[in-house]
Amino acid sequence: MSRERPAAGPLRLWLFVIGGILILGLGLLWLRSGVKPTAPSSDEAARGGLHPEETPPGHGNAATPPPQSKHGKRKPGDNVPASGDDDELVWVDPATLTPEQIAERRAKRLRMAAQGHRDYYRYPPSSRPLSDNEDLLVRDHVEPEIRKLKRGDDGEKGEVRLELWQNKMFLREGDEASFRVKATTEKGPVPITVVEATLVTLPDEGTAPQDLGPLSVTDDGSPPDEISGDGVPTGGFVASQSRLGSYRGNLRVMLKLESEGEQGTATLNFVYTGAEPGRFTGEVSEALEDGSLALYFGLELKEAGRYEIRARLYDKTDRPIALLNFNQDLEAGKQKARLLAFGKLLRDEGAEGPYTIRDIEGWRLLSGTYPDREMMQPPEDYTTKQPYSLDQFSDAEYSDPQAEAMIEHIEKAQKTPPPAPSN
Amino acid sequence: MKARTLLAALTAAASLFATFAFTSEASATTYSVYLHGRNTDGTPSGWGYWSYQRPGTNSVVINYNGRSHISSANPTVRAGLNTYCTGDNYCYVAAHSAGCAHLQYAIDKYGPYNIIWVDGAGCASGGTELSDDWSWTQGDDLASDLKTGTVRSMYNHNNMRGAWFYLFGGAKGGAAAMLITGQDDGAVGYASSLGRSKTGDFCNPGDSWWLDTCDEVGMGTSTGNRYSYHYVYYRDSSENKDHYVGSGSGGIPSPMFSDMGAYAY
Repeated sequence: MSRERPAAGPLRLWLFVIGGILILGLGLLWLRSGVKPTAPSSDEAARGGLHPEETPPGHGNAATPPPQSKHGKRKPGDNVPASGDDDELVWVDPATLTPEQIAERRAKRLRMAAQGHRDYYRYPPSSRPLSDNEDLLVRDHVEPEIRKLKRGDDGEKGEVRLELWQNKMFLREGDEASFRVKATTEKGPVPITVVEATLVTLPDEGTAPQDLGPLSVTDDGSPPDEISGDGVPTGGFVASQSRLGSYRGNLRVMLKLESEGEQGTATLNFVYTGAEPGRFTGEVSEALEDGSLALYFGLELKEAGRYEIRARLYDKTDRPIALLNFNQDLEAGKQKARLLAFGKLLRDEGAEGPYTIRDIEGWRLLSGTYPDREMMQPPEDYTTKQPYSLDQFSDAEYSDPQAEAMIEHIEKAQKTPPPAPSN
Repeated sequence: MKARTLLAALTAAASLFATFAFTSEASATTYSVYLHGRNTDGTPSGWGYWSYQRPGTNSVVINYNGRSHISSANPTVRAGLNTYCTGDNYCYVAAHSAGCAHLQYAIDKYGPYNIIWVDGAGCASGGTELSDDWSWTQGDDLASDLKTGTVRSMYNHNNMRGAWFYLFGGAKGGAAAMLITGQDDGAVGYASSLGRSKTGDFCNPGDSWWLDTCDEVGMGTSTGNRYSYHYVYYRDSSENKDHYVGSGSGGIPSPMFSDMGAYAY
């Protein structure tokens, strides 16, 4: 067992006792009624990931379900499917399969590979459904880290669970960083105290970290804290040039924490990327091109290089539709980044204009260095001047010669004979 | 005279075309590319990282500095992918641990490549709570990259350009289980190894008990909070696979090796 479990508190112990009595009672009733355990149906076995004819011993079509302890642990058996699984293709020890079964499974994976490329290349890489990129819906989103507060080596497990939230990961010169710490137990949210907070640099290996001093963390409603006295302390700092000088790289917030009698430490990481390599000018032009909507965002660049720009397109009903990506080399000076709202994607989503482009972000992408980017200040949202209706857009799929060659190769690969046994 | 010159030119052109076509066809190769994970000794030598196992057709290894930042060492990875997975060449990829993050970073920011599919064992592309530990993080630059929020913000994990990642997640956590959220293999939790787009307590079906609930991960594409083109192919229900190549049949790379041997040709 490797999943952490909290120690049983008084409430859990009572629930355990009451639950035990209930289970015992139900068990007695079941024995008296003479009901036998029900074997899983062949449908269930198939849902579990295997065709009945290729199910090796111990893989899903046993007469009884895998036994479990009170902690829900299964007895040994590799990759055991469960009743909730609904996909057919899962790993099965090839040593238990016949050559024909292996060939059939390989053909299935190759069909899936071809279909994967077909599905992806319906739209260009620069214009993707936001439904396929849910974690990127909001600019600067950093997935909070969730872990136990107490991580001692004494083997004693804690009850308090931390959620470490931060407003962004990458900081350009002058950006404000903020973070907050939430604590919960099984009873719900509990207050947590930040005993100490400091900011340090975490430079590349071989260079010692530098202590940048203590940080103020409050729960009094003063910015960046949102609600006074809610038990969720919040802190922040400004990534100022005067403080950081020529440093570029990780900035770690080091926290000493206390909650519900437990003590522990935690860190949050930010990446300082220094001065802006250029800026959005605020000028945007729009054009219908080959059945799609092209949006040209003006840039004034101090540095030439590869630029990544990302934005989210919403339709007239404020529905998130598309993730727009730009990733190209640009020269220094006045430039335009072309963000493409692909016609077929707009039509497939039933997305009528006018469109609003939100959460626009951009950076110069650096190769072979850390940090790998220099952030630019995000521009304001933009709403298209024209209303646009779906019949103005093409319903044609994107065409990529390399993807087509790839699909053709995968389809041919199904006929490749297996290699001769090496012995 | 003119006609003969024209004929000679046409013959030469046809010959050149045939030579080119033949050469082009003949040079098309399908490779099995191996991408290692974090390596505190720096750049591994030969097949040492993989315990000298190399199943799959035309197996080749890309060795990069396994203790540098992902972005710093990634040009080496891209150079390898450019050699084996572009033009007329196609590849299957077997990636372990931070090797998954390297591959995905390359695909998202510098792709496309001719990748048929990817087998990923103990993928660290979603990071590990171990990196929240200051002493572990200070060990090397790659370890600091693997803080969950940092590596998840580094690139678009959904943008795999049509290539499926078949994920192998281990659950024999050992001593590190206290430090990692959810089921884990001793280095990464299911949130990472099984391609979850959120952090949190992800587990095997049946693990939820009383008030101690967790997000049970289904096989294949069957549950939510999943990065696009990430496929749960091996879930360690029996909790007998740890993270490491050196653990042999007790490590999560083990079923990946057998998979490469059976299907990557």
